Amino acid sequence: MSELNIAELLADQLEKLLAAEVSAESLAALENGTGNRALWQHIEAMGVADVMCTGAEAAGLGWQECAELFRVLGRHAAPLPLAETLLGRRLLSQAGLAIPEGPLALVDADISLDDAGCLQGAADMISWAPWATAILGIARRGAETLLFSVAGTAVSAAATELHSLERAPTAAIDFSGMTPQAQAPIAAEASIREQLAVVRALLISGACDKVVELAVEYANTRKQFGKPIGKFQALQHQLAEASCRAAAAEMAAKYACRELDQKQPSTGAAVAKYTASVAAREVSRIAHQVFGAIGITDEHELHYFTRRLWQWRVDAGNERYWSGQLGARVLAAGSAQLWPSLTA
Amino acid sequence: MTAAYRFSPYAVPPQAEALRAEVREFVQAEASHWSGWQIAHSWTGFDRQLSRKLGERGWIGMTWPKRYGGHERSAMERYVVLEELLAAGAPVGAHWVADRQSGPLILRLGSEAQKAKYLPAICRGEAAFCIGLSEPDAGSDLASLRSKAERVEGGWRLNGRKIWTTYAQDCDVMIGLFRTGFSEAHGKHKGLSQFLIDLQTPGIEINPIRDLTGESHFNEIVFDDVLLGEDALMGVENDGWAQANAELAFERSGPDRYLSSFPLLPLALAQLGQAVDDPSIARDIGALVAELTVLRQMSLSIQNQLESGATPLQEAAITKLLGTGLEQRMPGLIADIVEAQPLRRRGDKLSEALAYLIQVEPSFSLRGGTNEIMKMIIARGMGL
Amino acid sequence: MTPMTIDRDALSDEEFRGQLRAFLAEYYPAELKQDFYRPFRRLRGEPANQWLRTLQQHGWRAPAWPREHGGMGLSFRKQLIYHEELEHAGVARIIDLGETQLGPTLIKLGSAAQCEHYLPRILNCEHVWCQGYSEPNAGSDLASLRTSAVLEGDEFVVNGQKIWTTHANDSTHIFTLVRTGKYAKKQQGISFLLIDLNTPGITIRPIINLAGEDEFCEVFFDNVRVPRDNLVGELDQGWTVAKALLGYERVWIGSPALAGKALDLGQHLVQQLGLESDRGVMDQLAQLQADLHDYRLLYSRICDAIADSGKPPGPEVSMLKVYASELLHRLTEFNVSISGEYGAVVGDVELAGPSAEVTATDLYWQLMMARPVTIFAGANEIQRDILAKTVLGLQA
Ligand SMILES: Cc1cc2nc3c(=O)[nH]c(=O)nc-3n(C[C@H](O)[C@H](O)[C@H](O)COP(=O)(O)OP(=O)(O)OC[C@H]3O[C@@H](n4cnc5c(N)ncnc54)[C@H](O)[C@@H]3O)c2cc1C
Ligand SMILES: Cc1cc2nc3c(=O)[nH]c(=O)nc-3n(C[C@H](O)[C@H](O)[C@H](O)COP(=O)(O)OP(=O)(O)OC[C@H]3O[C@@H](n4cnc5c(N)ncnc54)[C@H](O)[C@@H]3O)c2cc1C
Repeated sequence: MSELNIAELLADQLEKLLAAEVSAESLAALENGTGNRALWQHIEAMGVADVMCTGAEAAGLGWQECAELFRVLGRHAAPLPLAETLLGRRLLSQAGLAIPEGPLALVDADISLDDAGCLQGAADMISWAPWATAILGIARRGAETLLFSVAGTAVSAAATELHSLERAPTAAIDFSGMTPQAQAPIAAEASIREQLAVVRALLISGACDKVVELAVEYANTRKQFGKPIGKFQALQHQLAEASCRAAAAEMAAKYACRELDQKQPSTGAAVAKYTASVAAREVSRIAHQVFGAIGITDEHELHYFTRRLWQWRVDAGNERYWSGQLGARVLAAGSAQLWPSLTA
Repeated sequence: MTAAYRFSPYAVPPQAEALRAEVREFVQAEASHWSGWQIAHSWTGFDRQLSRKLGERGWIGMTWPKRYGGHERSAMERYVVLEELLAAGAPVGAHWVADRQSGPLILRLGSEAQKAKYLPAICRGEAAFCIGLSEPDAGSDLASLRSKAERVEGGWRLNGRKIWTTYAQDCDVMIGLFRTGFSEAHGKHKGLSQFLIDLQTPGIEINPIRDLTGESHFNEIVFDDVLLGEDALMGVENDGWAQANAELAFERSGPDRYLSSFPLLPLALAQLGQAVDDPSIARDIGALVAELTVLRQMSLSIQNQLESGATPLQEAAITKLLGTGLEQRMPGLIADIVEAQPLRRRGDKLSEALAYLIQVEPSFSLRGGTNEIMKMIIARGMGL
Repeated sequence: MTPMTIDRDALSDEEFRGQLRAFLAEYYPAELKQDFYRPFRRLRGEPANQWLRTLQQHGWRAPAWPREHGGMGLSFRKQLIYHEELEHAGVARIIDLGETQLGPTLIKLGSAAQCEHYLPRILNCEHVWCQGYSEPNAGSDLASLRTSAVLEGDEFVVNGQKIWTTHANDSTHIFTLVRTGKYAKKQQGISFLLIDLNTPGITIRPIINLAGEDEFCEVFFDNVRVPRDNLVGELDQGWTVAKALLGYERVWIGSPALAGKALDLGQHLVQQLGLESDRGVMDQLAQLQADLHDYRLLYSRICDAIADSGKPPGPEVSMLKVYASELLHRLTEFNVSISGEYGAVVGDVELAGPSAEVTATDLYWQLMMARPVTIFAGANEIQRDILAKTVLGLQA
């Protein structure tokens, strides 16, 4: 219970901080390549980034406790690699590796470690890699699962900077031939891709809430034909649909958090990311329709959220990917297992 | 600003889970003689014998006080029983309405005599209830209903017409909403009252209406100077609108709002076998399973809120809209995936079930309040 | 004004098609073609004007204008062939509102002097026109517009603001709807006024869109003096003037061309990503192909009916706008969703396909450029209202 309070307190603090610090201007600055390092340093000093670390002296907060924290980041389109760093530090602590200062970036691609101790494999798109002090991934060596870390400075040669929809610093990196800075066996509750999928689902759910809120506010104030456009049933129905999608995304993401906390192999990540990706697609479509021309301008804040929704929809597997994964699992388990696993 | 709804994950407690195996075993034994056509009826399959058996096991009126024949089990235990029955397509229609809404309503608002008269019979699976709300000119706009009940010496006289009343021809009792006071001019939500009506009372004519599947499961009911005693009034006179509405969160969020087509899915998986190597089938199945998982969580979350005394109407409308959407999409999608013919072919459960569900699926977004009305409720809740 | 000397309308459809195809093959610059990188490439500014002048020199400009006004005088049916061939050749789109909107309006409702002055200048691109209808508070409800024009002697004095004016910063002139009178019915008291953007008192501020382009502008009018002669049609009757061409606008906006380009890209992506063995993807693609095919048939049926009747398009053309725009949404969505993580990259994506040939594309751009199609030229909600009321006969 007291842990829950720490998490709530932090989410609250973060909410206040981001409400004060994040604006269209600060987002634009990040996206122009002049991100707010001071804000990051402030947040790092707050200690938020460490709360998911496990171990003797760590806060060791679980997924359910931190769900709101991630949703707050989504609600504000936080121009910070905090989600990645929270998760990254947790992974490092689980593997018993030292935690470096500064932001982390995560690789969800399949990477292997060869007998010579070199990594093999590449990742198409790593958010925040150009900012990261270290980049983490999971590598297989035979039957072993190892968490590896490569210093941010070590990868610059192998990195190609990308322009992502989110317009956060992003790169593609080919790790082949690199030697990790550190590595250790890890018994994580799920793969990085699954964990990242849950994180993205939480961010999507926060951002969906925000977008629905913006759209409702706009529909209630924008007048055409002598009344607020929110009075027209055509828009009410679309907004109700958006609200359903946002609610489903939130439910799905929180469900996945509970599953992760229970540390058993689960379909939580697939359920969450499938549902959230569909929500990201539908909520942004509807919001743009409600806003009309103003919504497709650079000046209006809407796109800071809808671009992230489009980005997060694709990150760590889109809805097609995860429904395929989940369906394959269900099919392989067979008919008799369907209902028992749904109610497990 | 916060969202207009609240959903938080809720796990069925172990004590309720303990019941699951028992129900599952019972259902499996019964299921062997249900046809595909029958299981596709889900909670609109009417089988008094099954209801009596369930009554014997203590699986009707589970949460009600023992003194009325109930079992004082938790709402979650009841939920487990419901979802196990629905998942298998058990024909639970003969007690469904009574267990889901009529019984709780009587328990909450009924007189001691009413409770004593009806609740034990419901618990035994012997009293089938129907809902008399809709009228020919009062569907979505229910409050414009015109059937009326007048005070007479020693009781009430009913005149008017109800329609679409599911299983009225097989039921024992109706809880009906009638105009008792004020005319529509006073505001149509005022002056409505609920009545407990024994369907054998003289003056009641029940005319079955054949539906598009060829069956007659709903009815038109004509009330022609039907005389009821004082004790037929349910709750407070002229307060019927609020009374009827209070039940809606229960009615709209239960597992019956997303599991109506569910029995198709295990049948389809069985037909496909475990070695399917088609990513598109996997995606379709995965999407259905993901949506089911989320809906179950939403429904459980609402159940949990109801139990703690909240009335999550917004949440219920959201869940009903998403849930009926899934129920409606499933038959067509599954027919595509398995390339099955929706046929009434005896013995082929999947084809039979598809044949029924493809025909009735359009009604899922009508019964219990249409999609358009759900969207209206949600939009209002969002502050539009 | 020199009337067009060649009468291409007299050609058989096949000859017409053949000649146009040969002309485009010879003259349209390969580097400006629409391709997988820029499936809906648009030309604007000088490259656009250059191409329009090439068309003009060879007698291929202004297909819908009568020959006596320097146009090609094509029947509606030949206009359809004309657009089909341009699409087929990958000619980039040009938003040439002088040709497509103002010219026909002047021909129909303008004075002889206006025709004589403006039409040739539209044809030779000396004047480039943009459309100034929408205002911050007059979008779907256009008739509530407030930019005012007050007659002072021989001049109107215009004050107010227009917004979303596409390519105003590339234009020399703007045709506007302005308020000249107050009546009970707000559609009355609006006038159709032509304004030179070089007139003192006009400020243009570009607005950047989601795709990062300065697609549209705000145009401010501060005591702008406009000659009375620039009024088109009667004073206070501008609503009728503007509406005269609305039907045609919806026909051209409803063209299946963009959807066709998006589908070409989709088909190509399926190949490059090696998805031909994925039944679900192929099903979806087949569905989209079938829908586009059906839509082309619907489009040509409605267009044929217009051509045969010789009457302006009726309210059913709202169907075209709704279908075409939503099909384009679905297609661009499909392209993104099958592309997995490529779908989140802005700018160039290089897809190395099984054929070893590398395709450059920009998935984000096509997605973004498709966003506004359900909004402009009458948002789809408004079009559905029109369909419900006038085509289906439902009461409001
Ligand atoms: C299988 C089945 C079983 C049923 N069982 C029962 C029962 O046991 N007891 C009982 O009392 N009733 C029962 N009903 C009736 C059910 O509650 C009504 O069908 C429902 O309330 C809709 O009313 P209606 O059919 O008159 O349609 P209408 O209200 O006439 O609606 C027709 C259409 O118009 C739309 N519409 C109406 N108002 C609006 C609005 N304001 N805005 C937008 N759209 C609107 C509706 O959404 C619908 O699409 C049953 C119905 C079905 C299909
Ligand atoms: C790319 C682009 C280019 C444009 N180019 C030009 C141009 O060159 N010149 C020009 O004059 N204008 C131009 N426009 C403006 C365009 O015509 C308007 O955007 C359009 O009329 C909608 O107005 P709005 O954006 O103000 O939205 P609003 O009218 O505010 O509408 C917002 C939402 O409310 C809905 N809505 C409004 N009224 C109703 C109703 N009665 N019932 C149901 N729903 C309703 C709309 O459908 C929409 O979903 C352009 C717009 C875009 C996006």
